[in-house]
Parts: sequence; C-alpha cells; structure tokens
Amino acid sequence: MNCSKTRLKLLDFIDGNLDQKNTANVEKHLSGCDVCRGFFTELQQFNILMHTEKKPNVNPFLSNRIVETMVLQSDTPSQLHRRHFSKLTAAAAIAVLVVAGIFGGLEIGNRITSGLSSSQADHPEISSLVNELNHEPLEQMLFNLNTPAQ
Amino acid sequence: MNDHDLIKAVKKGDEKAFHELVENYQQMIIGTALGFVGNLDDAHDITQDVFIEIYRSINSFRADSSLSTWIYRITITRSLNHIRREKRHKDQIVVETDIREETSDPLEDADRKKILHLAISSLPKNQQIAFTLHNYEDLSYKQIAQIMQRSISSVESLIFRARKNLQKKLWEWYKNSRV
Ligand SMILES: [Zn+2]
Repeated sequence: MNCSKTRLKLLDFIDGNLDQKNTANVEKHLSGCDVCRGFFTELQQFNILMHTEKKPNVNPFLSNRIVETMVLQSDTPSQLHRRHFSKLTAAAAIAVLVVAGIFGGLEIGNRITSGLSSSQADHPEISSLVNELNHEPLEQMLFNLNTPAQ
Repeated sequence: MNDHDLIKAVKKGDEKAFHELVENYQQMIIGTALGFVGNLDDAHDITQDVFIEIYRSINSFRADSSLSTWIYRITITRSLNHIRREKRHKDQIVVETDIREETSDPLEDADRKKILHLAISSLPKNQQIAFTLHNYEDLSYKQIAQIMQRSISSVESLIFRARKNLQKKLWEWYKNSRV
C-alpha cells in the first residue's frame, strides 16, 4: 500500500474500523515509512482530543443565568411573540443599522484585506482552510437544512 | 415532566418548567456547540442564545419533530453563525499557529484544538454538521438524518467524505508544518 492510500485509512485504523487485511497493510506500511508514521502519531493526538472534548463540564450557574435572563424580560413567550416595535422605532433602528453596516462593512473589509496579506500569504496550508469558509454560504446550508431530501 | 407537558407549560410562561427544560437540554446544546466552535466559553454563550431563541419561538414549535431535533437545529444554526462571525478571529489564530511553528516546540493541546476546529469548520457545511453530530454527540445516522432532513444513506456518505477530507486537511497542515 502506498503513502496516500495509507494516509486515507489512518482514521479508520485508529478507530479499529478496518478489516484484517487492511489493518495488516497499514501496519506494514507504517513500520517502514517515517513520514506516515509521524502523521499517524499526530492524528492519534487529534483523535484523543476529539474524545476529551466530548461531554464538556457545564457551568453550574448556567441554568440560573439563563432563567434569570428570561425572567428579566418578564414576558411569557406568547406575549413576547406578539410584541412589536412601533413603526417609528423600527424605522429609526433600520436607518442606524444601514449606516453602521456601510461604515462597519468598509472597515471590516479593510482589516480583513490587510490581515490576509500579513498572515495568510505566508502559510497557504492554513489559509486554504480559512478561505474555504468563504465558499460555503450559510444561507445555502440553511436552505439545505430546511429542504427535505428528495 | 415529559417534553410535551414541558412545552405546554413553557408556552404558558411557567418559569419552573423553563428551568427544567434548561436543565434537561443544556448538556446536549453545549456538547454540540463545543463540537462546532471548539471553545467552552463560546459554547456557553451559544447555549444561552439557543435558550433565548427557544423561549421566544416556542409558540412556533410544532410537534411534527421531536423537541431535541428542533433544539439541535437551532443549536447548529447558532453555532454556524458564530463561526461565521468569528472568522476574523480565526485569522488571529493563524498568526498564533505560525508563531508556534516558527519556534518548533511540540504542538500543545490548545494549538492542536484550534487546528482541528479550523479543519472541521472548513469542511463543506453539510459534512461539518453530520460529522460533528456523529463525532461529538454520538448521534446515530438515523437521528442525524432526522435533524438534517436527509436520507440515512446520504448522512452516511456525508460522514464518510467528512472523515476523508479531514484526514486530507490535517495531512496538508502536517506536511507544511514539517518544512
Ligand atoms: Zn508513507
């Protein structure tokens, strides 16, 4: 088994999902390839990390904090649901948001552009991860979530 | 109280019932959010936002899906929104990671965690969702299929592709970090 084929089987190897033949092939390759063995060791660390992140400790004050936040609003959900801003307040809020959005957007745009040039250009491997986020519009995902599979 | 009674009571504004709902679901929400964002403080903030949204929109909840399915969907949306907002912050992580690489110290868990979540969050969204629910919440393909409104076989394929892509991304990172 060559390097690239071996690497694609490593997560399954770590999880014990491979059959006997593939397990033996991966073991054989790892014993003779320093590069793949180094990556395998690193991947094991990532795998351990994923397991330790499961079932996190919940802040014991969280539920009180949340309920207090809700009580402060002192509305039942139905009252909250029916309550609306006055038209005047809403119009003023929209105007402020539009102005803030234009200036904020310009500012953020500038910062992102300058940030990319200093940090991402030097390290294409990580910047490729960051950049791919741009190619997954959230709206599309939400659309997919809300649209039953055909 | 079962979920049905709980929802009815919360709709009426029963504070105790809402408290019970928070107690019942906070672990699930934090675990899911943590799988997406990789940071416990952020996961707590997302959890608070999710409960506020639950409270505000409980009247629009229809019993055609289970309460947990509905809450998972809200949590996913909130978590992905958070990742999008924090994208600028992730540029900062890139800088921190670079520093670590330059000093060639062994990678610490905190850095490894950032790289891992950067890699997961760069997966196509549907792969990211299926992988996170399966890996961090140990949900079955069937449960994930209900949440994502997809077939079980498509969930299976999403998780398969997510694992292969994750290995490729982590390999790219590993390869370049050794140069
Ligand atoms: Zn090899």
